[in-house]
Amino acid sequence: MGALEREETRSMNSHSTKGKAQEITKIVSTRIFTGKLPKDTGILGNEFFARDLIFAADIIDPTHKV
Amino acid sequence: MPSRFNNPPGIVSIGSGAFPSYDSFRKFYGQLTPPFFGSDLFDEDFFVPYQENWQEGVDPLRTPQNGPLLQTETIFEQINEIPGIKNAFVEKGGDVSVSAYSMVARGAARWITWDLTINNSSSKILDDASLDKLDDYLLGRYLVPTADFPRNDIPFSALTSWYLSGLDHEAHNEGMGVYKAYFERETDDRIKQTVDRLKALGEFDDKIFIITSDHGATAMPTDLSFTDKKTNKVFAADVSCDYKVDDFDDPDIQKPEQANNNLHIWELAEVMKLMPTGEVDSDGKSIFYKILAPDQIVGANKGETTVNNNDVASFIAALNGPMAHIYAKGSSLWNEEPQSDLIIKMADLFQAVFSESDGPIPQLSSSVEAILIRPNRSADYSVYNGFFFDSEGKLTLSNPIGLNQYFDNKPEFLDAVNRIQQMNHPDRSGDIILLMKFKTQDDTTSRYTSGVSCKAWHGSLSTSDSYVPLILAYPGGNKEEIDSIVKKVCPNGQCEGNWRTTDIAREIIVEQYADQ
Repeated sequence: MGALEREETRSMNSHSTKGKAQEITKIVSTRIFTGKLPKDTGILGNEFFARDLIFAADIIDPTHKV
Repeated sequence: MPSRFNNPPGIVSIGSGAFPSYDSFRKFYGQLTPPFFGSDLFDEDFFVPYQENWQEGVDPLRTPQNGPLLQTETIFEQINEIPGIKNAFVEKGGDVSVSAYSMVARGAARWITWDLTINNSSSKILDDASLDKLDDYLLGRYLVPTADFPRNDIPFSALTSWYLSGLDHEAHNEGMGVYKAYFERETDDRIKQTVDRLKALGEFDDKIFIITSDHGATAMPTDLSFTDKKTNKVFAADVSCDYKVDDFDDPDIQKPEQANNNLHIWELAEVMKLMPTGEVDSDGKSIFYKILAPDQIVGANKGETTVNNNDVASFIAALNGPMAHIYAKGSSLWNEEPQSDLIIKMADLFQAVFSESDGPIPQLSSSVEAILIRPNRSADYSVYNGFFFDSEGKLTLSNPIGLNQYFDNKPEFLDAVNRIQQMNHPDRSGDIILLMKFKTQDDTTSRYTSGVSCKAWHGSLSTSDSYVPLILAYPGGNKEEIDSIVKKVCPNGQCEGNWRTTDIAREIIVEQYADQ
């Protein structure tokens, strides 16, 4: 019996929900924390090419610290 | 950033299925001699940075997806703007929001990242690291009183997010056969431990819990093989989930990789070898169409089909499991409107290669379900269906098939038209998208992917990848309280099947803190 089942929850709603874009980690993680879809977030996959940032390498440098 | 992801400016590579941070851990095992904190290995991580202790929050801008790359507000940023939220937290020494081992954290008051616990399984390490770090935070924050803020004077954050990635990792590496057992044994156990911790701290009954997942998963073929013609011995195809770029032209690597159902980046380069077409440039030199690829491939392939100079490459590929984005260069620069003739020619090459039984990548023949094409950045995607030269000699699409028409009788693709349209970004989605075959109702041998070959994948438009659970629980409350919030966000049941989780979470916080 799982942890959630062990809990005597007085209120629990369970549903299934379906994808609205490609179901790959970075797209969906971004969607969960923004509520927006890839055409708005600009996060198009685990890998993608950002034409708009081609001359802004420092912006996407992961070691970039502010 | 790991050197193998040392992409040229403009390429964004976040995780890539190879999970570089895991690889850093692998390298790290052999050198486990303290002090190890702050080593270059951890500095290379970009999935989630390493953090030595929770007291000092990590800056989310250390990862690319949390910087300006993300073009919309996060929920953390949104709740920071709720009137009264600062009175409720900041002035009392609390954190408005906490993001524990997540990937999207911009705006979070505290971003908790990696901790390290040694275990025998890398999947367990991920989950242990996540649990331990959250537990450290909870204990240090809420059990140990400070001089300025005795216990219970520090308010629990309005939003705490916590991510367990081990299940996804386990499925990729070990296949769907272990999925249920891992969930029950490992994932659920860590949820239980956190529930116990919250109860011990008196922080359970007054919380609303939202439990969901980022995606489902589907088994990939694991029993493929190839025969060495010299020895007549049979070897297994590679489904190791490792990203093979070093020495990829070594037959010991190449043959097992060619025998799986995965379109690897160097295999894509092999396709492009078929294209020049006898054309010459103004200097009389043959024109080759070249793909921009990671540096290791560039070095190994010596520039014949892949080059590391974005001034001379013609295409960029980003391989995302069952969808691969292909980008064509503009007339002189990458950020210009891509050349439509290049796009059409490449789509035509793909159509030819992936419909032959004896193409350059035999295992991948007939592996592409559809070639989606967008001839310019403001266009919609359609399914490629050939080309012709118009009266002015310009390459023109020949009767492209609309998405509605193509997917009309393909129920195995879930809501495909809308989902593809929602991915149409003028600057960042591919001019061509290869939609790999992924028929989950058929044998696993009919499933194909791109990027890294694993024993399970996700990212297709199939039902198995696309449905996830959603649980809303309020242990100390009642159903009506939850229902009233859900109905406010989703009146008249309009969210059925697509629950607006982010909006529900924000509404809960607005109702609680807006007037404080």
